[in-house]
Amino acid sequence: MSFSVNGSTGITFNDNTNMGTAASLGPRNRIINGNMLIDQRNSGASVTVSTTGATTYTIDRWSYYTTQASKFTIQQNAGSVTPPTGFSKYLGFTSSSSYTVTSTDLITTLQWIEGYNVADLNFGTANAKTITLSFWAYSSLTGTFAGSVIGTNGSTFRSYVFTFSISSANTWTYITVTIPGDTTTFSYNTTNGQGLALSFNLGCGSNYQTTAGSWTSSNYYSTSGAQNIVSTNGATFYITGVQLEVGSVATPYQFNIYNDQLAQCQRYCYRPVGTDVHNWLASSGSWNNATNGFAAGTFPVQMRATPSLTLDAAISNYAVYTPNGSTFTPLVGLTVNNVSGTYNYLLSFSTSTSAGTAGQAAYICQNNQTTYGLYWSAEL
Amino acid sequence: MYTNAQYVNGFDGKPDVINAINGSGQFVSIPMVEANSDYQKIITLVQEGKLNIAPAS
Repeated sequence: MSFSVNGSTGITFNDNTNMGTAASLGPRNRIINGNMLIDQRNSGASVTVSTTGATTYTIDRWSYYTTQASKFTIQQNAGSVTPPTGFSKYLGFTSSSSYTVTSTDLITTLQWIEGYNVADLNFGTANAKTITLSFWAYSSLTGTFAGSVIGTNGSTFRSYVFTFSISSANTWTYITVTIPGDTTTFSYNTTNGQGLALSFNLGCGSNYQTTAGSWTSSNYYSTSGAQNIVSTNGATFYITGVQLEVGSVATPYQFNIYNDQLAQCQRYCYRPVGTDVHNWLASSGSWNNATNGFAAGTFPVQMRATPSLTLDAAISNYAVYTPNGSTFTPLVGLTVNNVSGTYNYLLSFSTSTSAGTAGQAAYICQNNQTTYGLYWSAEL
Repeated sequence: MYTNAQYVNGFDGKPDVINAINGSGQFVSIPMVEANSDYQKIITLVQEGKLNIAPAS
Protein backbone atom coordinates (compact mmCIF):
# COMPACT_ATOMS: atom_id res chain seq x y z
CA MET A 1 0.00 0.00 0.00
CA SER A 2 1.33 3.41 -0.92
CA PHE A 3 -0.25 6.79 -0.66
CA SER A 4 0.42 10.42 -1.39
CA VAL A 5 -0.38 13.43 0.73
CA ASN A 6 -1.47 16.71 -0.76
CA GLY A 7 -2.26 19.84 1.20
CA SER A 8 -5.40 20.49 -0.82
CA THR A 9 -6.84 17.11 -1.64
CA GLY A 10 -5.71 15.12 1.38
CA ILE A 11 -4.50 11.54 1.27
CA THR A 12 -4.73 9.59 -1.99
CA PHE A 13 -4.13 5.85 -1.86
CA ASN A 14 -2.74 3.71 -4.66
CA ASP A 15 -6.21 2.56 -5.65
CA ASN A 16 -7.08 6.25 -6.22
CA THR A 17 -9.43 6.41 -3.26
CA ASN A 18 -9.12 9.58 -1.30
CA MET A 19 -9.54 10.85 2.23
CA GLY A 20 -9.85 14.59 2.05
CA THR A 21 -10.27 15.52 5.69
CA ALA A 22 -10.03 14.05 9.14
CA ALA A 23 -13.80 13.89 9.16
CA SER A 24 -13.71 11.49 6.24
CA LEU A 25 -12.09 8.87 8.45
CA GLY A 26 -15.37 8.29 10.27
CA PRO A 27 -19.07 8.29 9.42
CA ARG A 28 -19.46 11.11 6.97
CA ASN A 29 -22.47 10.62 4.75
CA ARG A 30 -25.34 12.89 5.72
CA ILE A 31 -27.65 11.07 3.32
CA ILE A 32 -29.46 8.06 4.79
CA ASN A 33 -30.09 5.06 2.53
CA GLY A 34 -27.95 6.62 -0.19
CA ASN A 35 -27.37 3.17 -1.68
CA MET A 36 -31.15 2.71 -1.93
CA LEU A 37 -31.08 -0.59 -0.06
CA ILE A 38 -34.00 -0.13 2.35
CA ASP A 39 -37.54 -0.05 0.96
CA GLN A 40 -39.85 -0.71 3.90
CA ARG A 41 -42.99 0.73 2.33
CA ASN A 42 -42.97 -0.94 -1.08
CA SER A 43 -40.53 -3.87 -0.76
CA GLY A 44 -39.22 -3.24 -4.26
CA ALA A 45 -42.63 -2.86 -5.91
CA SER A 46 -43.31 -0.16 -8.48
CA VAL A 47 -45.17 2.96 -7.38
CA THR A 48 -47.11 5.48 -9.44
CA VAL A 49 -47.96 8.61 -7.49
CA SER A 50 -51.36 10.13 -8.20
CA THR A 51 -51.33 12.56 -5.29
CA THR A 52 -50.27 16.02 -6.39
CA GLY A 53 -49.00 18.96 -4.39
CA ALA A 54 -47.74 16.74 -1.62
CA THR A 55 -44.78 14.62 -0.68
CA THR A 56 -44.96 10.87 -1.16
CA TYR A 57 -42.24 8.62 0.21
CA THR A 58 -40.90 5.94 -2.12
CA ILE A 59 -37.94 3.96 -0.83
CA ASP A 60 -36.80 4.84 2.67
CA ARG A 61 -35.90 8.49 3.25
CA TRP A 62 -36.47 9.41 -0.40
CA SER A 63 -39.58 11.37 -1.24
CA TYR A 64 -41.23 12.37 -4.47
CA TYR A 65 -43.08 15.62 -5.02
CA THR A 66 -45.17 16.29 -8.07
CA THR A 67 -47.64 18.83 -9.34
CA GLN A 68 -48.84 16.37 -12.00
CA ALA A 69 -50.39 12.99 -11.34
CA SER A 70 -48.95 9.72 -12.56
CA LYS A 71 -46.03 11.06 -14.59
CA PHE A 72 -43.49 8.49 -13.39
CA THR A 73 -43.28 4.95 -12.23
CA ILE A 74 -40.84 4.74 -9.35
CA GLN A 75 -39.16 1.58 -8.23
CA GLN A 76 -36.13 0.18 -6.50
CA ASN A 77 -34.05 -1.36 -9.30
CA ALA A 78 -36.46 -0.25 -12.03
CA GLY A 79 -35.50 -1.71 -15.39
CA SER A 80 -33.25 -4.29 -13.74
CA VAL A 81 -29.97 -2.87 -15.03
CA THR A 82 -26.71 -3.86 -13.38
CA PRO A 83 -25.92 -1.36 -10.61
CA PRO A 84 -22.48 0.23 -10.34
CA THR A 85 -19.78 -2.01 -8.90
CA GLY A 86 -20.25 -2.41 -5.17
CA PHE A 87 -23.95 -1.54 -5.19
CA SER A 88 -26.95 -3.84 -5.37
CA LYS A 89 -29.80 -1.34 -5.46
CA TYR A 90 -30.71 1.93 -7.09
CA LEU A 91 -33.73 4.22 -7.21
CA GLY A 92 -35.28 4.37 -10.65
CA PHE A 93 -37.74 6.74 -12.34
CA THR A 94 -39.39 5.99 -15.67
CA SER A 95 -41.38 8.67 -17.45
CA SER A 96 -44.93 7.56 -18.26
CA SER A 97 -45.56 10.11 -21.04
CA SER A 98 -44.04 13.04 -22.89
CA TYR A 99 -45.30 15.91 -20.79
CA THR A 100 -44.27 19.51 -21.40
CA VAL A 101 -43.91 21.29 -18.09
CA THR A 102 -45.60 24.60 -17.40
CA SER A 103 -44.04 27.41 -15.37
CA THR A 104 -45.63 26.20 -12.14
CA ASP A 105 -44.76 22.51 -12.47
CA LEU A 106 -42.40 20.83 -10.07
CA ILE A 107 -41.53 17.14 -10.17
CA THR A 108 -38.59 16.10 -8.07
CA THR A 109 -37.18 13.43 -5.83
CA LEU A 110 -35.52 14.60 -2.66
CA GLN A 111 -34.27 13.68 0.74
CA TRP A 112 -34.66 16.02 3.69
CA ILE A 113 -31.80 15.67 6.15
CA GLU A 114 -32.71 16.21 9.78
CA GLY A 115 -31.32 19.44 11.25
CA TYR A 116 -29.29 17.59 13.87
CA ASN A 117 -27.33 15.89 11.09
CA VAL A 118 -26.25 19.10 9.38
CA ALA A 119 -25.90 21.42 12.36
CA ASP A 120 -22.11 21.19 12.23
CA LEU A 121 -22.05 22.62 8.70
CA ASN A 122 -22.64 26.08 10.19
CA PHE A 123 -24.74 27.09 7.21
CA GLY A 124 -26.09 30.60 7.47
CA THR A 125 -22.94 31.83 9.18
CA ALA A 126 -19.53 33.10 8.12
CA ASN A 127 -18.10 29.72 9.15
CA ALA A 128 -20.22 27.65 6.76
CA LYS A 129 -18.38 24.56 5.55
CA THR A 130 -17.92 23.42 1.99
CA ILE A 131 -19.77 20.21 1.19
CA THR A 132 -19.33 17.67 -1.58
CA LEU A 133 -22.02 15.59 -3.18
CA SER A 134 -21.23 12.38 -5.02
CA PHE A 135 -23.50 9.82 -6.67
CA TRP A 136 -23.92 7.46 -9.58
CA ALA A 137 -26.44 8.46 -12.27
CA TYR A 138 -27.85 6.55 -15.24
CA SER A 139 -30.30 7.82 -17.82
CA SER A 140 -31.64 7.02 -21.25
CA LEU A 141 -31.11 10.72 -21.94
CA THR A 142 -27.85 12.61 -22.21
CA GLY A 143 -26.94 16.21 -21.59
CA THR A 144 -27.11 18.51 -18.62
CA PHE A 145 -29.18 17.49 -15.60
CA ALA A 146 -29.89 19.50 -12.46
CA GLY A 147 -30.44 19.16 -8.76
CA SER A 148 -30.32 21.41 -5.76
CA VAL A 149 -29.52 21.67 -2.09
CA ILE A 150 -32.23 23.43 -0.13
CA GLY A 151 -32.34 24.71 3.42
CA THR A 152 -35.11 26.17 5.50
CA ASN A 153 -35.75 28.01 8.72
CA GLY A 154 -39.25 26.58 8.81
CA SER A 155 -40.90 29.24 6.72
CA THR A 156 -38.49 30.52 4.08
CA PHE A 157 -35.83 28.81 2.01
CA ARG A 158 -32.31 29.01 0.67
CA SER A 159 -31.16 26.94 -2.28
CA TYR A 160 -28.19 26.11 -4.44
CA VAL A 161 -28.86 24.65 -7.87
CA PHE A 162 -26.14 22.48 -9.37
CA THR A 163 -25.81 20.80 -12.74
CA PHE A 164 -24.17 17.60 -13.83
CA SER A 165 -23.58 15.97 -17.17
CA ILE A 166 -24.35 12.50 -18.48
CA SER A 167 -22.63 12.06 -21.80
CA SER A 168 -23.33 8.38 -22.45
CA ALA A 169 -26.91 7.10 -22.41
CA ASN A 170 -27.71 4.00 -20.40
CA THR A 171 -24.34 4.04 -18.70
CA TRP A 172 -23.62 4.62 -15.04
CA THR A 173 -21.75 7.90 -14.59
CA TYR A 174 -20.04 8.91 -11.36
CA ILE A 175 -20.82 12.52 -10.48
CA THR A 176 -19.18 14.78 -7.93
CA VAL A 177 -20.29 18.30 -7.11
CA THR A 178 -18.60 20.57 -4.59
CA ILE A 179 -20.83 23.22 -3.05
CA PRO A 180 -19.59 26.17 -1.00
CA GLY A 181 -21.21 26.62 2.38
CA ASP A 182 -23.96 29.20 2.57
CA THR A 183 -22.45 32.19 4.40
CA THR A 184 -25.50 34.42 4.04
CA THR A 185 -27.06 35.02 7.43
CA PHE A 186 -30.00 32.63 7.73
CA SER A 187 -31.38 30.54 10.58
CA TYR A 188 -31.03 27.03 9.23
CA ASN A 189 -32.91 24.46 11.27
CA THR A 190 -30.41 22.55 13.40
CA THR A 191 -32.69 20.36 15.53
CA ASN A 192 -35.18 17.63 14.67
CA GLY A 193 -36.91 19.48 11.84
CA GLN A 194 -36.00 19.87 8.19
CA GLY A 195 -32.33 20.80 7.90
CA LEU A 196 -31.08 20.46 4.34
CA ALA A 197 -32.69 18.76 1.35
CA LEU A 198 -30.94 17.20 -1.58
CA SER A 199 -33.12 17.27 -4.67
CA PHE A 200 -32.84 15.79 -8.17
CA ASN A 201 -34.94 17.45 -10.87
CA LEU A 202 -37.32 15.29 -12.88
CA GLY A 203 -39.45 18.07 -14.37
CA CYS A 204 -39.43 21.69 -13.40
CA GLY A 205 -41.04 24.88 -14.72
CA SER A 206 -39.50 28.32 -14.86
CA ASN A 207 -40.92 29.34 -11.47
CA TYR A 208 -38.53 26.87 -9.86
CA GLN A 209 -35.49 27.56 -12.03
CA THR A 210 -32.58 29.85 -11.29
CA THR A 211 -28.95 30.26 -12.25
CA ALA A 212 -26.84 27.32 -11.15
CA GLY A 213 -23.77 27.63 -8.98
CA SER A 214 -24.67 30.10 -6.25
CA TRP A 215 -26.79 30.28 -3.13
CA THR A 216 -30.02 32.18 -3.47
CA SER A 217 -33.17 32.93 -1.51
CA SER A 218 -36.27 30.81 -2.07
CA ASN A 219 -36.49 27.18 -3.13
CA TYR A 220 -35.21 26.40 -6.60
CA TYR A 221 -34.76 22.98 -8.11
CA SER A 222 -33.29 23.36 -11.56
CA THR A 223 -31.90 25.73 -14.14
CA SER A 224 -32.99 26.71 -17.63
CA GLY A 225 -31.86 24.23 -20.22
CA ALA A 226 -31.45 21.26 -17.90
CA GLN A 227 -33.12 18.00 -18.82
CA ASN A 228 -36.73 17.56 -17.78
CA ILE A 229 -37.01 13.79 -17.78
CA VAL A 230 -40.80 13.98 -17.68
CA SER A 231 -40.77 15.44 -21.20
CA THR A 232 -39.72 12.18 -22.84
CA ASN A 233 -41.99 9.17 -22.80
CA GLY A 234 -40.14 6.15 -21.44
CA ALA A 235 -37.10 8.17 -20.36
CA THR A 236 -35.28 6.74 -17.37
CA PHE A 237 -33.31 8.28 -14.55
CA TYR A 238 -31.59 6.09 -11.97
CA ILE A 239 -29.41 7.07 -9.02
CA THR A 240 -27.50 5.32 -6.26
CA GLY A 241 -24.46 5.77 -4.03
CA VAL A 242 -25.63 9.22 -3.00
CA GLN A 243 -23.30 10.80 -0.49
CA LEU A 244 -23.18 14.32 0.93
CA GLU A 245 -20.16 15.06 3.09
CA VAL A 246 -18.12 17.87 4.54
CA GLY A 247 -15.11 19.00 2.53
CA SER A 248 -14.18 19.60 -1.06
CA VAL A 249 -13.29 16.02 -1.94
CA ALA A 250 -15.66 13.15 -2.67
CA THR A 251 -14.58 10.11 -0.68
CA PRO A 252 -15.71 6.54 -1.46
CA TYR A 253 -19.29 5.77 -0.59
CA GLN A 254 -19.68 5.02 3.11
CA PHE A 255 -21.34 1.63 3.29
CA ASN A 256 -23.08 0.79 6.55
CA ILE A 257 -23.79 -2.48 8.28
CA TYR A 258 -27.31 -3.41 7.15
CA ASN A 259 -28.94 -3.23 10.56
CA ASP A 260 -27.31 0.14 11.24
CA GLN A 261 -28.75 1.51 8.02
CA LEU A 262 -32.16 0.01 8.78
CA ALA A 263 -32.10 1.65 12.20
CA GLN A 264 -31.22 4.99 10.63
CA CYS A 265 -34.28 4.64 8.40
CA GLN A 266 -36.49 3.53 11.27
CA ARG A 267 -36.04 6.86 13.01
CA TYR A 268 -38.34 8.14 10.25
CA CYS A 269 -40.37 5.11 9.21
CA TYR A 270 -40.98 1.80 10.96
CA ARG A 271 -43.08 -0.79 9.17
CA PRO A 272 -43.65 -4.11 10.87
CA VAL A 273 -45.14 -6.70 8.53
CA GLY A 274 -44.69 -10.43 8.73
CA THR A 275 -44.94 -13.61 6.74
CA ASP A 276 -47.34 -15.34 9.09
CA VAL A 277 -51.05 -14.85 8.46
CA HIS A 278 -51.43 -13.61 12.02
CA ASN A 279 -48.08 -11.88 12.35
CA TRP A 280 -47.89 -9.83 15.49
CA LEU A 281 -47.94 -6.07 14.78
CA ALA A 282 -48.05 -4.49 18.20
CA SER A 283 -46.76 -5.49 21.60
CA SER A 284 -48.78 -6.50 24.61
CA GLY A 285 -52.28 -5.21 25.12
CA SER A 286 -55.40 -5.81 27.08
CA TRP A 287 -59.13 -5.45 26.76
CA ASN A 288 -60.72 -2.44 28.42
CA ASN A 289 -64.22 -3.82 27.93
CA ALA A 290 -65.95 -6.22 25.55
CA THR A 291 -65.22 -4.24 22.38
CA ASN A 292 -62.32 -1.89 23.19
CA GLY A 293 -58.79 -2.12 24.44
CA PHE A 294 -55.23 -0.88 24.30
CA ALA A 295 -51.98 -2.27 22.89
CA ALA A 296 -48.58 -0.81 23.71
CA GLY A 297 -45.12 -1.22 22.28
CA THR A 298 -41.65 0.20 21.86
CA PHE A 299 -40.14 1.49 18.64
CA PRO A 300 -36.84 -0.10 17.56
CA VAL A 301 -35.14 3.30 17.76
CA GLN A 302 -36.27 6.65 19.06
CA MET A 303 -38.32 8.22 16.32
CA ARG A 304 -37.72 11.78 15.15
CA ALA A 305 -41.14 12.91 16.38
CA THR A 306 -44.25 11.25 17.72
CA PRO A 307 -45.18 9.28 14.60
CA SER A 308 -48.38 8.87 12.65
CA LEU A 309 -49.83 5.42 12.18
CA THR A 310 -50.81 4.39 8.64
CA LEU A 311 -52.60 1.17 7.75
CA ASP A 312 -51.48 -0.46 4.51
CA ALA A 313 -55.01 -1.63 3.79
CA ALA A 314 -58.58 -1.67 5.08
CA ILE A 315 -59.04 -2.17 8.80
CA SER A 316 -60.57 -5.60 8.15
CA ASN A 317 -57.05 -6.84 7.36
CA TYR A 318 -56.14 -6.46 11.03
CA ALA A 319 -57.35 -8.39 14.05
CA VAL A 320 -57.03 -8.64 17.79
CA TYR A 321 -55.98 -11.98 19.23
CA THR A 322 -57.34 -13.00 22.59
CA PRO A 323 -55.15 -15.80 23.99
CA ASN A 324 -57.62 -17.13 26.54
CA GLY A 325 -60.14 -18.01 23.91
CA SER A 326 -57.63 -18.34 21.07
CA THR A 327 -59.80 -16.13 18.92
CA PHE A 328 -58.95 -13.66 16.18
CA THR A 329 -61.49 -10.87 15.94
CA PRO A 330 -61.36 -8.40 13.03
CA LEU A 331 -60.84 -4.80 14.07
CA VAL A 332 -63.10 -1.90 13.18
CA GLY A 333 -60.85 0.73 14.71
CA LEU A 334 -57.14 1.21 15.41
CA THR A 335 -55.98 4.64 16.51
CA VAL A 336 -52.91 6.26 17.98
CA ASN A 337 -53.44 7.20 21.58
CA ASN A 338 -52.30 10.59 22.80
CA VAL A 339 -49.85 9.19 25.33
CA SER A 340 -47.69 7.80 22.52
CA GLY A 341 -44.28 9.37 22.14
CA THR A 342 -41.02 8.99 20.26
CA TYR A 343 -39.91 5.87 22.20
CA ASN A 344 -43.18 4.06 22.83
CA TYR A 345 -46.69 3.89 21.53
CA LEU A 346 -50.15 3.11 22.76
CA LEU A 347 -52.88 2.06 20.35
CA SER A 348 -56.60 2.07 20.99
CA PHE A 349 -58.40 -0.76 19.23
CA SER A 350 -62.04 -1.63 18.83
CA THR A 351 -64.18 -4.45 17.47
CA SER A 352 -67.80 -4.49 16.37
CA THR A 353 -68.63 -7.65 18.29
CA SER A 354 -67.99 -8.50 21.91
CA ALA A 355 -64.73 -10.42 21.94
CA GLY A 356 -63.01 -9.79 25.24
CA THR A 357 -63.41 -8.98 28.89
CA ALA A 358 -61.80 -6.20 30.86
CA GLY A 359 -58.22 -7.05 31.79
CA GLN A 360 -57.95 -9.96 29.38
CA ALA A 361 -54.74 -10.06 27.32
CA ALA A 362 -54.85 -9.07 23.66
CA TYR A 363 -52.50 -8.34 20.79
CA ILE A 364 -52.83 -6.72 17.40
CA CYS A 365 -51.99 -8.86 14.39
CA GLN A 366 -52.56 -9.36 10.69
CA ASN A 367 -55.93 -10.90 9.93
CA ASN A 368 -55.36 -13.96 7.74
CA GLN A 369 -53.05 -12.20 5.32
CA THR A 370 -49.33 -11.73 4.85
CA THR A 371 -49.30 -8.65 2.65
CA TYR A 372 -50.51 -5.74 4.72
CA GLY A 373 -48.79 -4.38 7.79
CA LEU A 374 -48.86 -0.95 9.23
CA TYR A 375 -46.27 1.73 9.35
CA TRP A 376 -45.24 4.45 11.69
CA SER A 377 -44.07 7.66 10.08
CA ALA A 378 -42.07 10.52 11.53
CA GLU A 379 -40.76 11.74 8.22
CA LEU A 380 -39.56 15.28 7.68
CA MET B 1 -54.21 15.00 0.20
CA TYR B 2 -56.28 14.17 3.30
CA THR B 3 -60.02 13.56 3.45
CA ASN B 4 -62.55 12.37 6.02
CA ALA B 5 -60.60 13.98 8.86
CA GLN B 6 -61.97 13.63 12.37
CA TYR B 7 -60.69 14.52 15.82
CA VAL B 8 -60.22 11.76 18.39
CA ASN B 9 -60.41 12.55 22.07
CA GLY B 10 -57.73 11.45 24.50
CA PHE B 11 -58.02 10.29 28.09
CA ASP B 12 -58.68 13.86 29.16
CA GLY B 13 -61.67 14.12 26.84
CA LYS B 14 -59.94 16.67 24.63
CA PRO B 15 -59.00 16.08 20.97
CA ASP B 16 -55.35 15.16 20.54
CA VAL B 17 -55.35 12.85 17.53
CA ILE B 18 -56.75 13.31 14.02
CA ASN B 19 -57.86 10.32 11.98
CA ALA B 20 -58.03 10.80 8.22
CA ILE B 21 -57.67 9.13 4.82
CA ASN B 22 -54.49 10.02 2.94
CA GLY B 23 -54.00 10.54 -0.78
CA SER B 24 -53.38 6.84 -1.29
CA GLY B 25 -56.69 5.95 0.33
CA GLN B 26 -55.04 4.65 3.49
CA PHE B 27 -56.27 5.26 7.01
CA VAL B 28 -53.90 7.50 8.98
CA SER B 29 -53.97 8.27 12.68
CA ILE B 30 -52.05 11.48 13.34
CA PRO B 31 -51.05 12.76 16.78
CA MET B 32 -51.56 16.49 17.20
CA VAL B 33 -47.87 17.13 17.75
CA GLU B 34 -46.21 20.11 16.11
CA ALA B 35 -43.11 18.17 15.03
CA ASN B 36 -45.21 15.59 13.20
CA SER B 37 -45.09 16.52 9.50
CA ASP B 38 -48.47 14.92 8.79
CA TYR B 39 -50.02 17.16 11.44
CA GLN B 40 -48.26 20.16 9.90
CA LYS B 41 -49.81 19.29 6.53
CA ILE B 42 -53.25 18.90 8.10
CA ILE B 43 -52.97 22.32 9.71
CA THR B 44 -51.87 23.88 6.42
CA LEU B 45 -54.85 22.36 4.61
CA VAL B 46 -57.22 23.64 7.27
CA GLN B 47 -55.70 27.13 7.11
CA GLU B 48 -56.04 27.11 3.31
CA GLY B 49 -59.69 26.13 3.65
CA LYS B 50 -59.10 22.83 1.88
CA LEU B 51 -59.97 20.52 4.77
CA ASN B 52 -62.52 20.47 7.55
CA ILE B 53 -62.02 18.30 10.59
CA ALA B 54 -65.13 16.74 12.04
CA PRO B 55 -65.62 16.79 15.82
CA ALA B 56 -64.84 13.69 17.83
CA SER B 57 -67.67 11.23 17.97
